[in-house]
Amino acid sequence: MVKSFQPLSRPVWISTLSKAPLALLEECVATLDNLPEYGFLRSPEVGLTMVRGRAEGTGQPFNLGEMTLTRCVVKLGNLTGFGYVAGRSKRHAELAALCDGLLQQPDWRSRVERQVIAPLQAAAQEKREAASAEVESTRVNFFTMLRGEG
Amino acid sequence: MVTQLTGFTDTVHDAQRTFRALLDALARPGILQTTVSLAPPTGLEPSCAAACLTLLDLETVVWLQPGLSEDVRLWLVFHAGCRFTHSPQAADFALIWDVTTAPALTDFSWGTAECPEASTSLLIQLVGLSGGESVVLQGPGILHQIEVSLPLRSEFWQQWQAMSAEYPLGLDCWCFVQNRVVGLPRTAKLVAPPKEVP
Repeated sequence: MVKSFQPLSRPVWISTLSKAPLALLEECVATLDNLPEYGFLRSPEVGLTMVRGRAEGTGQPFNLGEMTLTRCVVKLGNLTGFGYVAGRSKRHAELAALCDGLLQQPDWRSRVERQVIAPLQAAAQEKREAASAEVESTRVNFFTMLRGEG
Repeated sequence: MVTQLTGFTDTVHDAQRTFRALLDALARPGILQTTVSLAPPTGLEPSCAAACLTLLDLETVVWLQPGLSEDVRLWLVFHAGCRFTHSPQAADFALIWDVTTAPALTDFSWGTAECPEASTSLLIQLVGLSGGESVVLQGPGILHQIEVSLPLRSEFWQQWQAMSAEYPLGLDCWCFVQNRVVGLPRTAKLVAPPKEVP
């Protein structure tokens, strides 16, 4: 499959960082050395958020339920990095925010893209393919036989 | 644009300590209380900033007196998530930095007969906590009487006396300077009528 080249956009990298497994994210961030000093604009905090959905047909929004969310805002010089992750991991939120901040800086961007985002995206892709391969094996094919004239 | 300033260092304990100070300020009118200190945005006193972080959240509606820098609004939006209104009547909290040009007390909400507590609470920033016209207050939480000389004009005290007559409707306010706060609940009534402005 030919993948068209698209520069990495912020929504995409934030999504990758949020959904990544923490162990893999830690590993990737550990490969970056000389990380700049950073402070918290908002220390990692755990809270609840209301997830909303849209009803079929009318499209009216409704409350689906509450979800545990951990958020963190990191200050890197003049830039702010935001990390929002599902669950209770403060470390994950901190790392996601740190990477978001670094990716906004021109001199860190390519390094973080290569050493953090690319491996995370590859791992996510692998997981998706494995899941769909497993599902594929359960596919049932229906054959229709034409009777008579044909 | 996001604010560059942090909020409380220790969110839980700092907020609790500040809340206690604000509670004590209303429970013991006229007596100075000390809040937690933090680095406020330009235009806010440290104690007022601490009170904002303690009291405001995404369910509160705030009226900012015109003249406060944009920094204040951005800081409040980021840390408190509160909503803003241009109508003093609709506000749960009103942030006043210049009491001389502030609206009259009647312009704010005094609550309703069913819910007198659903009134606006004023967060008034002052230049000092003394040096103004001296008035004597009495009421719940005050042992006999207490004299305060907050730098508030006679008009304020006249309006306050008119408001006292409407109890339980009315409003409550906190006055902030540096990291100190003084509370004036609506139950604090003037003993002697304030001197009329000649």
